[in-house]
Amino acid sequence: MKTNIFKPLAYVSISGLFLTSCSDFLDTEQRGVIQIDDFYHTDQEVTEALYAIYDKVQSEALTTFQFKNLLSDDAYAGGGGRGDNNTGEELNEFRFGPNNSLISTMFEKYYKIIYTSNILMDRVEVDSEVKRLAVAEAKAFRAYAYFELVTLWGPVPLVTRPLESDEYAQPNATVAEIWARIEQDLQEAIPELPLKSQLSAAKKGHVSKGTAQSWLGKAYLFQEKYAEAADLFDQVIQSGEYGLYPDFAMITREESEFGIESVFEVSYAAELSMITEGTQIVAYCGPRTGYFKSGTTGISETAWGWVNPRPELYEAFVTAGDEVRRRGTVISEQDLMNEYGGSFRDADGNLPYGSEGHVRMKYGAYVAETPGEDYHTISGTNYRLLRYADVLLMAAEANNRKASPDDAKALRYLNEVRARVNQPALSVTGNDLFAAIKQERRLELAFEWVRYQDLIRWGDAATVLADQGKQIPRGDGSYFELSDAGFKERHWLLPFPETEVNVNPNIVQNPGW
Amino acid sequence: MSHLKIRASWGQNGSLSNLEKYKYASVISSSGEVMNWLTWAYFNAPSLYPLADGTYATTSSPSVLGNRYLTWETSEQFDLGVDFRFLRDRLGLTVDYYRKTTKNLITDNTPPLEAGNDPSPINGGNVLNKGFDFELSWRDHIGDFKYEISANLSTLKNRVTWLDPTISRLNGAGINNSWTATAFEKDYPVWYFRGYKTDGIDPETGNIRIVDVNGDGVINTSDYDYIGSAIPDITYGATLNMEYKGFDFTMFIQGQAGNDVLMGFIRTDRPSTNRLSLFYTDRWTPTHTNASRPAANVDTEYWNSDQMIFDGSYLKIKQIQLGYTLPKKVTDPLRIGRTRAYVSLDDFFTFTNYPGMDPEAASTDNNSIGIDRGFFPISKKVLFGLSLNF
Repeated sequence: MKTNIFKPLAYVSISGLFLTSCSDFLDTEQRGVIQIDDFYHTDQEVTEALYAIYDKVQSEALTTFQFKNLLSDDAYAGGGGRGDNNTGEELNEFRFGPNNSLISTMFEKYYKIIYTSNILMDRVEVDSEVKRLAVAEAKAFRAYAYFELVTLWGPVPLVTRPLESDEYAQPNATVAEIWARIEQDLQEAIPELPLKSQLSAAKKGHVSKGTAQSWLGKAYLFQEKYAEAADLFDQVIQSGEYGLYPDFAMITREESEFGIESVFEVSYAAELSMITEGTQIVAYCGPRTGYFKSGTTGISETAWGWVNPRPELYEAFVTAGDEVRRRGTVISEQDLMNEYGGSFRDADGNLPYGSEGHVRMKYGAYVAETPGEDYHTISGTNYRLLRYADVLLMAAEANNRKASPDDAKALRYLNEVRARVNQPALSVTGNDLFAAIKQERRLELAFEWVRYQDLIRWGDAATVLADQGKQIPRGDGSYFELSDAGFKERHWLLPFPETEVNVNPNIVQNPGW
Repeated sequence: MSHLKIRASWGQNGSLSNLEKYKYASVISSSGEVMNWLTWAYFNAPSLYPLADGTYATTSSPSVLGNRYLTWETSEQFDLGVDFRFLRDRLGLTVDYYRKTTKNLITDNTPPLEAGNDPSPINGGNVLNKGFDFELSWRDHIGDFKYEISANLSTLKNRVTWLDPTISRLNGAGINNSWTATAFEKDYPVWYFRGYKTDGIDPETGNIRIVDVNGDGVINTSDYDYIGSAIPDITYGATLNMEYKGFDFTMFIQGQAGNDVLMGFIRTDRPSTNRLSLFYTDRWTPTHTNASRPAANVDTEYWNSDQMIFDGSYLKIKQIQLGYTLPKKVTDPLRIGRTRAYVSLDDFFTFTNYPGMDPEAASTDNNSIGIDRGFFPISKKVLFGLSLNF
């Protein structure tokens, strides 16, 4: 058999040509996208990366609203019936476990903020004013996220740069390490940030010097470093950058957005062409549809009723003779009928599940804050993360509690807050003043996400929330009796989410979980 | 014996079939998957941030964590087989032993939450699949009557042999937002079922007893354990073909045994939704304490436990088909080619102990195998057909 040597030889040599340039030939770059190494260079790119942090703070609007409110004694978790908002009920009644999805979503959200800040700081080379400012704002946000994590979960992992894939499983850090990080981030950010009045119209929603100073003061306050906290709050107050918005009823409405009292707000918009920029608090957290008739309140009649005020809150306003704040925070069924011509009972004369007839006016489900009743899932109400009244009250507390108390100053700040709502000035001192400040915080900042963390840091959670959830109104006058509800020893710290404990061998779950 | 062949083979191939294009890369993205609250569906939308002056700012951040160490999967398969044929090639028997090792399996990752971004795929682990294949066939004819019977059976042992040591296990599919029901872990079958183990019903309260697996006195998710696997121990099938004077008959049977199905369509967050009646009919009541199912107000742990695992073994007669081909004497003068008419019963008979609708209709998503999410069962079909060739 004659073998033709040339044919196979030709094949081998041609394929040899392919082998040499094989790898270049096969490498195809993905088109139409920006590789991570090509980003974070120009001012425009860094600005977009900075807004990505804002975007993460803005995310999970509905979960955040529920998580922050339902853990406090401000609210009942309601709905169409028991079990309709199961995860919210578990939180509100302190019957939750590590698999509660509201808890894991919030835990994940805070780490997404931290990651987005870390990656900006890691990759930006500060060679311009814009970049210097962006890094400062990123530090402030990282501190904010760690503040939330350490006050709610305690010894969380401390991550200060983007992680490599073989180090994702981080161990717990100590609470002291996390506070130190928060303090350092804010101390570095404060000198770089502009005053609020120096911000342009477009940037009114940015973190300002006053924001970072207030957050640092809050961090000191929570660690009981009262003297340092008082100093920082004084700086914010003396700066003259802030004041109290005169009309308390409008404190969470559009007209006071980015106004004189705003220290930091999370921005939302209710535009039909931008349906992803709204919150769902009107649609889900307003008074239950089928029962609620709005009269002249302007509140939506098609909401799901997931976050309802508790009667104890209403009573607290009545006992304090606090007319203005009561109207701006919560109205009773009687008020609804007598003053607004509305009603809250169905044809059988029942209230909805999880409600005693009260309607929330602060962060209320106002139709005016949405594109209309048909689009009530897009509310533009900004979340006021920090307003000046809160700063004044924290300053009062710090001055009252520090080693050499300055009760005169504390009273000045406290009475300034009270004057706005026509409450008489107080003149108590010492522990009485501290109790008065605590009560003032309850009335001034109801439904503003500070109550639960305040109760934890004052050590009052075990007493105030001991019976929380043991009786839930059915709506027909009877109650669900839940003997296993209420604040227990393990609740001082929230549990690490089940998904975290499942995959991270280095994490130690909080005690009792 | 008319024929004997011994064969062995070994092969190795790489695969990226588990990987979508460019999924290893972390690119900068200015949009993301968000919920459209008007339609309640997820969609891809620009990630914007509303500014105080009414304009919207673009936001840009890495889409996923990225994994620059990602490489392709390598599968190595070794096969050893013997083919026998006896009695003038009428009786055939094949026996195979196969052993397939997949290294660097590309899987979804579930990183700890402090990683801070959506995960990229990783080379998760090594998986071993091994077993035996048997095939037996008999082909013969009695005059004009031709028939053939063949049956096959495969055994399968599946195990994860290696997982990145920094990962304790990968979380899999979730049920009802509250139960991560499957996991990928060393020394277990892939995506095995994981949940509470139960130990009977308390005759006094009618409540289910949950086993405290780690012995710490608290029943919580740390007591999850292996409760079943969707991987079958054996799969088998049989075919029967018969032909006589223009008639043809086929019957095709297929089945599995040893696979578990997780009944994953019970909504535990809504106490007053429909359940299968089997949970009701033999439930514990104060007058019927010797029941196989707990009381109607059982703790929620019951629904995340081995009580939701059922034996999904089944045998299905997939097809019974009878056909007739017109003889050439009739079709040739009409100038039409082969004409055949047939009637077929497809997926008509199912034999199973699974109380749900269809043990085969469970999900086949990567990490969701064997979970019955209430999919529409495969319907029984009666088909009539006519084929004409011109």
